[in-house]
Amino acid sequence: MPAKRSGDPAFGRALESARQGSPAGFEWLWRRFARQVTAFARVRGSDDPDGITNDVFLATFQRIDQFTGDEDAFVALLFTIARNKVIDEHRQRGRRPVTTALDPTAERTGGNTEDEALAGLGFGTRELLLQLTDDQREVLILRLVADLSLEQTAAITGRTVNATKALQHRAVNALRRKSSVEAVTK
Amino acid sequence: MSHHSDPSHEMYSEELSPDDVEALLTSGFGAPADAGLHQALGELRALPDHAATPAPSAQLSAFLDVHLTPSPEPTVDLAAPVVDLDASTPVHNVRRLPMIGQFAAFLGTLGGKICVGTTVAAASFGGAAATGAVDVPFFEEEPAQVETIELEEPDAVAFVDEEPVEENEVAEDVEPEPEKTVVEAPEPEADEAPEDDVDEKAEEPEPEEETLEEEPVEEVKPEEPAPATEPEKVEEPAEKHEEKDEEAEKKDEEHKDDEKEKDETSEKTPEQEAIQEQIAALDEALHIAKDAVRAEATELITPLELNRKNLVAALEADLEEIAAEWEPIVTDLEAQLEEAETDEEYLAIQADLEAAQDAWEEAHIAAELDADPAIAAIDEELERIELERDAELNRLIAEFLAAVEALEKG
Repeated sequence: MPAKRSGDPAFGRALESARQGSPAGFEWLWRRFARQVTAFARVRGSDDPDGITNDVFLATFQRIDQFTGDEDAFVALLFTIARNKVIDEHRQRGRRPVTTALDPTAERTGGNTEDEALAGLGFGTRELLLQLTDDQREVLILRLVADLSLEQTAAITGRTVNATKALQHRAVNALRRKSSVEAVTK
Repeated sequence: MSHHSDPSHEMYSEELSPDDVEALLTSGFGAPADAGLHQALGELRALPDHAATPAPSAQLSAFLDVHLTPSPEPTVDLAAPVVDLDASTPVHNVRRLPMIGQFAAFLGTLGGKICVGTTVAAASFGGAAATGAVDVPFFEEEPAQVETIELEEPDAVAFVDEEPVEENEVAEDVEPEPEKTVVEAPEPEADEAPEDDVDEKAEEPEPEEETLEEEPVEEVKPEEPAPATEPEKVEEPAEKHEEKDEEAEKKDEEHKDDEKEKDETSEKTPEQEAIQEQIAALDEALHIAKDAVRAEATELITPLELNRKNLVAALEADLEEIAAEWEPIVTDLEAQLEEAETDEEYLAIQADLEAAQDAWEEAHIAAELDADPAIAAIDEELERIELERDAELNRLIAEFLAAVEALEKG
């Protein structure tokens, strides 16, 4: 499980140092969060997760003197930019992720580019995730890969906290049911 | 309802509540019996650990340490021996390398004992500089050249005027606090700034100094020995008029600062300079330590990457050999199939063809399966080394930043 972020004094120092233009501050922030952003971009089906990660940090660093907030806010900013860039990339190649309504009965078999992106996961996990809706997958990815809170995830995806909570509730229970079916089948 | 016939519904007829799910996602605990669910969530959580830190682009490198750019990949050497990479392959632990430990201890000591920071740093860099391994900016011999070399970033032109780049090049050793030290400690800057700024920003510092000369800053005039570059600028009054707005703002700020800080800063300047020297020394130590971490990691990574390339090349060679063996057979059977005259003959050839294709595929898969464990073991080891390297680098940076903060707070 990723290290919890709250209250890390190193972050505050690195952020302040980066605001003053110190390469050490930038480097610390880069090393601390680049992997998460890359993993997020990859698992969301980006063709160029490394490039997106670079773009995200470049955009962030260029305006870091305008940033005010704690580590959680900083991470939320990173993933907001990352999410938008992944969506832009999907748009550019004409394969925008399918948006589904918050219908509890709605289930869609995966088949978009995330299918390939999820290849890094175990076969069973990949199969489970591909049976979730795109929105459900995105919420789980933001919660677990990006290690964001419910509130942060809601803000980034543009939903209310309750809607996000309902979405993740359906996602986890769907995973639970499908994994149990697999276990019984085996 | 047919739920009774569905074992999954019998097992999990009571779904997790939204709060249970939230607790599960937040803490990782809950619904302990769901092994498959826990495995799926755990694999998602672990994804960042399996993602290598990407190489920073040229633009991003302008913000970071230039040494972040990874070294070029080793060339494939098919003649090189392929090391057996099973679980017993000994791999050094990056964190335990003595050199790194020394540097880490060095930084830690400075962070905890600020009073002796200067002495320790000076001793360390004195030794490093004496051996020629390191050029320390505050040593007498050519202090500014090292910084200029370190920051040559061909693709960073767009960011030259950004604050991080400026400070990276100049701030630490030349103008740690431009607003104050220009007025109060002009002598070292007047000597160094024009030389360093020739590359990129030759015009910016000079107008500030001109302003100081023209303005009735009584205490500044006699102290400024007027460096060689200044008279050339004084001969161009048009530029001064164009810059009056900016200068006026600066004047106001400087006057205010002068009035408030005259007494204070005149006493603090030596302390600030000492602190800046200590920070610069720490920065240099950080660079040395980071280089050591990278070098040691590279020593581990390079042979692994080489072995990986060799294994992949060997696999490709095997696959080519298999193809060379089976492709003619399949091609021949395909040709025979087209020329078959009777159904019986056609079916017989088709059976042979399918058998040949199956054999080819089996041989192909067998070769891949044979090579896969070794390649996977290398990938896993590379992942681990890179994770440890990055963690170690960030630990060093965090200690450096903590030490700097402690120094600045006095």
